This record gives sequence, C-alpha cells and structure tokens, in this order.
Amino acid sequence: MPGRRVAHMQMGMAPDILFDLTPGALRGVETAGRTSGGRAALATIRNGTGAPARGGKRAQLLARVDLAEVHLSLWCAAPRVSIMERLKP
Amino acid sequence: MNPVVHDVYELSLASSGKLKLRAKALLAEGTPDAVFRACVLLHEAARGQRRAIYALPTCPPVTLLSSRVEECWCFVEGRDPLRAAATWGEIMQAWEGVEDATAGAILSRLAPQFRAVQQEFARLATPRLIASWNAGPGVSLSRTEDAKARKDLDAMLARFPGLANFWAMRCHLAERDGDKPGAWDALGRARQLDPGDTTLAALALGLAPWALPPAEAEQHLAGVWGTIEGAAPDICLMYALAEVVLARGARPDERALRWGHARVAAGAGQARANSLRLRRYLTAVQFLLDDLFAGREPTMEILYRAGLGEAAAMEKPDANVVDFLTAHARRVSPGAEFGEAA
Repeated sequence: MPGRRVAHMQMGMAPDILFDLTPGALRGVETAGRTSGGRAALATIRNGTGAPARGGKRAQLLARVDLAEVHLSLWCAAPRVSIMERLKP
Repeated sequence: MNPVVHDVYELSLASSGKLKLRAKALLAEGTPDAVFRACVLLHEAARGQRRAIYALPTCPPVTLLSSRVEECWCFVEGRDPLRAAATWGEIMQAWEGVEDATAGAILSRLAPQFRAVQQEFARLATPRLIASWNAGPGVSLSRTEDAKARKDLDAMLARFPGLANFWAMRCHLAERDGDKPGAWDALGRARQLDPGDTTLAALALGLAPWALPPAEAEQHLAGVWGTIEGAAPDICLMYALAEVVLARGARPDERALRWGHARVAAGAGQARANSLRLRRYLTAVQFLLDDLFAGREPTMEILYRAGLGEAAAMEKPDANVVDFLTAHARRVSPGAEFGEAA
C-alpha cells in the first residue's frame, strides 16, 4: 500500500492494519501468513474450510458493514507465494 | 467527524496499538517476568481503547462493538479472565443494534479464544480457592487451608498473571505469613495492572508502614501527601492511619507534623466519604487525633463514639486502638470488592 499511513493495529478482529479510523467506515488490510502449504494453505485462509466453507477471511470481511475499504494480504514462506486482493469497495 | 475529536480518538487508538505490539514481543519472550510486563501493557492498551471511545460525541453501534471486542481481546491476551468476562458482558450489550452477520464476523477471532480462557480459568478456580476468595482478606483460615489455598493461587497466577485481584489476595496471604517482601511485591503487581484502583492504593498505604523500611515507607507516604486533597476517601483514611503508625517511633516535632498530616487527610476524606461505614472510620481517626494532640492515650471508647460499637465490642477492651483501626480499616473496601467479584 504505497503512500498509505498506518493509523492503528488491531489484534482482536480483522482487519489487522488500519489506514483510516473513521467510525463506521474503516479502511485497512487484513493479513495472514503461513510457514508452509503454498497456495492451498492460503486458499483455505481466504475461503475457509468444509462445505459450505466456514471461517474464510474473505466472507467475514465482506459481511462487515463497517468497512469502507479492505484488502486481503496473504503470504506463505515455503513455497514463497503471496496473494493481495482488494475486497472492498 | 470534528477534526479535533478525530485527533483525540486516533491518538488514543494509536498509543493503544503501540502498547499491544510491545506486549506481543514480550509474550514471545515467554519468561514469567516478560509475560507479566506484557499483561501490564495489555491492561493499559485496554484502557486506551476505552478512552478512545469516550472521545467520540456519538458512537455508532458497530464502532462500540468493535472497540469492546478489541478491549476484551486485550484482557484475554493480558491473562485476565475476570475482566475479559466483564467486557464480554458489554459486548453482548453492544451486539444489539448491529447486524448479526457483521457482529458474527467481528467476534469470529475473539469468541473461541475467550471460551478457551474461561474454561481454563474455571478449571483452576478450585472450590478451595473460591472459598478463600469469598472469605476475604480479614478472615483467617487454618494454616493447612491457607497453605492449600496458596498453592492453588500460585497455580492460578502462574497461568493468569493479569488477575489484579488475585495478586491482592496473594498479598493478604503473604501478609498472614509475615512475608513482607512477598506481600509488597504482590500488591505492587496488582497496582501495576490496575493503577487507577483506589482500593489497591489504599491497601498499599496500610501495608507500607509494616512491609517497608521506615525511610521507604516515609517516601511512599510523601508521594501521596501532595495529592491528598483530591484523593479518594479510602486513600485519605489509610493515609491518616499510616501517618499515625509512623509517628509512633518519631521525634516529638516530627510526630506533631505527622499527626497534622493525618488530620488534614481525615478531614479531606470526611468531605468526600460516600458510605456510612467509611465516614465512621474517618470520624474515629479524627477522635483518635484529638486524643493524641491533647496528650491523652486513645482508648477503644473512641470507636463507640464514632458509631463503631459493634466492631469494638468484638475486641478486647484493652486492645490498641490504632492497631485495631488499621487492621479493620483495611477491610472496609477490599472486603466489599472481594465479595462482589466472587
């Protein structure tokens, strides 16, 4: 996110990094990393597990009405893979 | 949002965020000392989170819910299941007015962690420990029961060092054992976790003349004297009694100065005392000081005159009234707090 200033880090809920703290219209990035597992591990984080998928970060972030802008940043150390996705707006 | 309000809100959140990051690093170190320091930082982060919300003239329901969730997370990570549970109750209240899908997503990270911590706390909160907790600081259990309760308490504090009230309980048990450094250290930890708790500050004033060398006790009292006019009434009471205790071994001129400080403190506390019991104790201290200034030996009679006849009747007539007041006054607020929390 070049040029964006981090205003706050939160740990009890997504998104982890916030650029804009306007109540009811937050802007930020949700991040997650894995040491292994590659794209499959990242897909599990993004989409959740099981059928129907449960606990996926994408669905949880899209369900939030208090987020005006949110990105999802996922990475894996081995193999070195990363995903950056803009979910809102 | 008003730009000034936004600045205050953002600054409070930013400082809370920095504390959480530092706490994370300390938790990763993993030593008992580092974990305790992390707990202190996370408790401060939780207070910062709450201060941020107070800066908002109007707070959307979803922002309130998010803030409470973050606060609760700080207590969960800060190893304080009791405060986490209290905040969880506020989350339940804040839930109303927020769409279920949004609320569910906001709580998705915290809820499983909270439940796991509560289960572990329930496992460690043995009936013996709860009984000792309910008995409060003024009640002496048998030596065997005390030893068992201490063992359970140590296990609890090893896993949950963020429990301020349990550190206060550890202080009382150490005091019963005559362990001065242990009592002072435990109370110091409780106060670090909750520096705004006037009950703990009052307890420290009651403990200082006993637990600390005279010079350090004087220093502790000197630190409180400057703020006594605006202090909470229980702090005023304990300060006055601590000055009377320290005056016992002092030179005559210093003794009069200490009694004078005690009188000012008792007067300041009397003006703000919000409970009959506390007012009676402060009145007793004022009668005690009247006797001391007049060169009379204070007797238990002052307790009857102050309305503390029931407590006085339970004590031997020739008991030392200063010791009696110090021992009993320390139970005024903490006893109530222990009862409520349990």
